[in-house]
Amino acid sequence: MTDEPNCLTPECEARNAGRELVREKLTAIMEHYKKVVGVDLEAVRNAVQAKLN
Amino acid sequence: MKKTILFTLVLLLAGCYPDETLTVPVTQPNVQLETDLDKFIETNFREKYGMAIRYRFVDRYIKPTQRVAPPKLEVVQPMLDFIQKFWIDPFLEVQNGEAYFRTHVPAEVVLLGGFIYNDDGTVVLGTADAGAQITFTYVNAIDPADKEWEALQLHTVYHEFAHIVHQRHKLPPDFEKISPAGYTSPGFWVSLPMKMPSSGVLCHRMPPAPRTKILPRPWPSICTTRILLRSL
Repeated sequence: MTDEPNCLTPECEARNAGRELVREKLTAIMEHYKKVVGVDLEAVRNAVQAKLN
Repeated sequence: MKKTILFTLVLLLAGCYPDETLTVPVTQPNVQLETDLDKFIETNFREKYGMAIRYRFVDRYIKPTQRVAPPKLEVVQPMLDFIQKFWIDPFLEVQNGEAYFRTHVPAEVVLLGGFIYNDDGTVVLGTADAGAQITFTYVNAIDPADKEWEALQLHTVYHEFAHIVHQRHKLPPDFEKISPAGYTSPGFWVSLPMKMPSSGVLCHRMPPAPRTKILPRPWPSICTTRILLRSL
């Protein structure tokens, strides 16, 4: 998930601000899973994606 | 004195009635290992993971105000293969994943043929009930070439599975403070087009009525699932 480059409008900046919040929440959840159940959700995601492709 | 002896005698005779066999029908256990499919489920799901697969429709799976079609028999085995491949196997392949899956897997998985239709015209895509049951809907439409169906089922099962996990482990500290605005509660979740809102909230719960008081309540599971399965 990457930011939109060269933002020239407030709407674009708002979307990028939203992306930053989502990244923050995603990081928090993934670290939480590693801590409490020892599972890397990114690895689970990769396993699912490999089967989808 | 005579009355007391007679009464005692009657009690003794009644207590020594020779035939104690019940004369009423005994309820049959709700397990019918009659078919190869039942045996497959017993071996590969119930014995292996403690997960019962329910494909025979029972009306307790939905509320009295809801309507749904049961699954066709011919879609059950393909759906089981789908569950194994896309839900169970990914956890078995990652570190600590098998223990995690076995610890959190619901005791019962219900397959329903169509969506669950509420009496207000809305539909339910799937449910997780008290950490013990996950319900797949729309199973009759299974099609390996249909990526939308595939995505719907994956969103649903990982979302519902996340509910079970979050019921046990709660949310990370201060998670609610990251983006407190944009959530509504109570209600039910709906899938929205993948757009990036400035609030950083990717899922919403619809209030039951327009004037219902809206309270902030983070609900990360569907958001996390959608981010993990699809790039933005």
